[in-house]
Amino acid sequence: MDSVIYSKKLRIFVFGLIALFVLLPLGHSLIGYLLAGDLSSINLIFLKILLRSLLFGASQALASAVFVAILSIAIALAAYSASPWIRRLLSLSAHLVFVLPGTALALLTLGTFDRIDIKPHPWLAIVFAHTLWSVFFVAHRLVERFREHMKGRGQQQWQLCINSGASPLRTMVAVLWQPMKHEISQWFPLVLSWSFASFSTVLLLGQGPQHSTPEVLLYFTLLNDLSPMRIALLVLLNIAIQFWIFRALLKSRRASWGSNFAFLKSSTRPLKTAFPRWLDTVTVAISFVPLVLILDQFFSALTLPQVEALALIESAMLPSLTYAGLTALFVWGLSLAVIKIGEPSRRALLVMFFISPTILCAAWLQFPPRSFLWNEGYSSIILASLLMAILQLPLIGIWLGHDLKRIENRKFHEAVSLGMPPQKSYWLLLVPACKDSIKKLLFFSFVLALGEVALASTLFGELPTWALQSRRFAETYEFNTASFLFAINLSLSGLTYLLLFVRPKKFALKGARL
Amino acid sequence: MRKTLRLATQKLLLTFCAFLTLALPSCTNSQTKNRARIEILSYSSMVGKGSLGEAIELEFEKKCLEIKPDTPNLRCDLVLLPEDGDSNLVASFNRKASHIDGVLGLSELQEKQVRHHPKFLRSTLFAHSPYAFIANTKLFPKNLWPKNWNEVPQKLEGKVFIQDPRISSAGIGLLKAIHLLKLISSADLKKITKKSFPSWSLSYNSFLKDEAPVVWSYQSSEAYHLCNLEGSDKGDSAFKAIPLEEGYPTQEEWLALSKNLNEIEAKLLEEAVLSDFVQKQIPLKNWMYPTSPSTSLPECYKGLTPLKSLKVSVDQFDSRILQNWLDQWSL
Repeated sequence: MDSVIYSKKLRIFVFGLIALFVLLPLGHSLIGYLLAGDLSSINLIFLKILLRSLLFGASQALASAVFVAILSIAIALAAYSASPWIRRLLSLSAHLVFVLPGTALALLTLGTFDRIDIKPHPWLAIVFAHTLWSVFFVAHRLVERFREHMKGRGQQQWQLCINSGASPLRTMVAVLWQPMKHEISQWFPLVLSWSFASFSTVLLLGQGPQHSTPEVLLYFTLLNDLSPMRIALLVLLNIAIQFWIFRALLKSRRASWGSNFAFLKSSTRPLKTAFPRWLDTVTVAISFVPLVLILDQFFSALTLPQVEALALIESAMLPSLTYAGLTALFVWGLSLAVIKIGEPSRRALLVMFFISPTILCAAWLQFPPRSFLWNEGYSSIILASLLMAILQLPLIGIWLGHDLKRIENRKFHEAVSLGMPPQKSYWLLLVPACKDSIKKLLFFSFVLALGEVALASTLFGELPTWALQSRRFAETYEFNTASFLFAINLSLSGLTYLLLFVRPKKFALKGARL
Repeated sequence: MRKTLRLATQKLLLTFCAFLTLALPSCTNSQTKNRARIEILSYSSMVGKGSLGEAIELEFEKKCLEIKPDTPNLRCDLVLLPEDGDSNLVASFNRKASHIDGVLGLSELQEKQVRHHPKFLRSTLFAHSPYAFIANTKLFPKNLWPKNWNEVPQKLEGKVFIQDPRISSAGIGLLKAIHLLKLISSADLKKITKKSFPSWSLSYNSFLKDEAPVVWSYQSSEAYHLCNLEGSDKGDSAFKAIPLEEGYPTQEEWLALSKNLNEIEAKLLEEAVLSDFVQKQIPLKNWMYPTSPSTSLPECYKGLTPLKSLKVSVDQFDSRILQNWLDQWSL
């Protein structure tokens, strides 16, 4: 198939973009930082600060991953026997919380603790936010995996265990142990990686240098611009950590890149469980608590005076929409190109996993072309949008690669042998085959850019976005105003979801795939 | 037909993406096409309509146009640009030094930092004010206030909003109190801190919402409330500076000029910021004291709590010393 659709030009285009917009600025800036740097700035005090940030980052990431694993297993065990519509509700709440940007998540955490009048320790608040973010999503995946298992060998194993005199609870754990282990071993390093690299949540909830991660430390070192050597060290360290986590991730997901997260065919036949039937409904109802809290914050925000609310919307509307819209547009363009670059090249795109928005900030702040091409106003938004789109390349490669694998070679060879030009087969066969994944990519990139703060706060100058303003209002305890701003983001995300995925004839929620 | 149309549309969009990325920025970026203007970096409240920056722009242009007929190469279009997002002025200047003509609003420590830059020409002091703990007397009555710095750790424990010195010059004022004036220790600073904010404006907004009884700010913050009061409340604001026997460190504001300016332009800029027209507007627009001794202060400044202003020599200061202070604060 590759020989039919492979395009050398597009491969050069995609990797050229990575080289020009990521590797070249990063290399140039790293050399610049190293040459301008003073080795004595890597002193004992700095090493202590660095070690503390590493420990803080690792401990909160590990705790988040452990909590997510334990809680998601508990939720999945309680909910896997639920009826199809209750599982759909779990899927809905899991996906809605999962697409929340880091700032919104921090805001939700701050608002929740504020409501019960508790000032949590920053570490606890960060772990709470990271757990809340992914626990229902992982639980949803576990539920689908458990059901798959119970419809196959699981039923026989269940019967055997019961016959041998085991209690229903012990039977359930024994039967579901294998799928549980398999699924959790895939998700654990992912949650670990996300929590470790999490930026805006840690920035907002960390409240100072004593509670920061290497990513946040890099951000502040960049902003005060006092020690180029430290910036270089932190960039290299962050890349190395992400590389190490990525290796662990690869090992755990060797055979399952692109596994399908869509619903399995629903069965109306109830599955065996050790728990009473009402428990699944209660568990799924609990998964809606974060959404209820979000809605509560949103309705509190509606008490803002109309003039103030309109001014808030207007003040950041154009930069926010431009940033999100352009990112989606660039992701769309890159997706069309990635379809034609061939599977080995798609796998090579995974190298972008090691690069975070903060590392790109370090690369671009010192890169000379920025000062004459993308330095101010909307030109800087164009650059940030392109960088955000390039950061999505691993996801683009995985999702589209999975779609393309499902297409039979024969179909293309037949089409080409029947006289269809390769160019036409691309537009008429390959692009439609990847349509759903491209739509999901557009949605995710749009939502990500709406909530992004690292690139926006360093590259945009004074142009505000709703996410940036939301972060600033949250920092001054103005939860109503901050909630109002992130409610705008959320409404826009919802609207985009409706436009892309919900059609009048087919009112089904589509699951995300990673 | 429909498919051909879709094909054409998609190709058109792809071309548009490429154009947007590469061609459009160079067309829209004013810096590449407009080197005929003087560009000065400053912090955001110094830029825009009604700001002190606007007054400086007007005064400079007026002076410049007067002598323009005799010196045709003179640039009379002065524009104040806000600094990069969350960065500080020194970092923004370092990154843009090749095409920026100066920086307005540097603190005295920042001014020492930019002095080492090869593009640095010279600098001018144009405003100053002592820092101060500002208290909300409704939440923290006068009889509970500390009288000197020794009492600060006990009486202000967990009560003060401060600013993160890594990115805020107001926060650096606290580091001066620790390291240069030895008024308070790092441990005691942590003890009195209720929350550290990324900027002065965020901390002060939060303070005004009664989230903390005390904020680290400037003496002129008290003036802000006195000067903006109306009707029966005039002269009786709830927000007062806490007078401490030893006094407070001082914040200075400097204009640093770049070698991108020619001598006449540099001189005109210095004259503009030190002119009567601009200096008179400093108390009510920049909320600092003007440096010109002949400038009279507004009436509302006369009701301010008298504070002792402590000045200390920072001649030997450089970025390594600041880094060391920040490291100790971060520990």
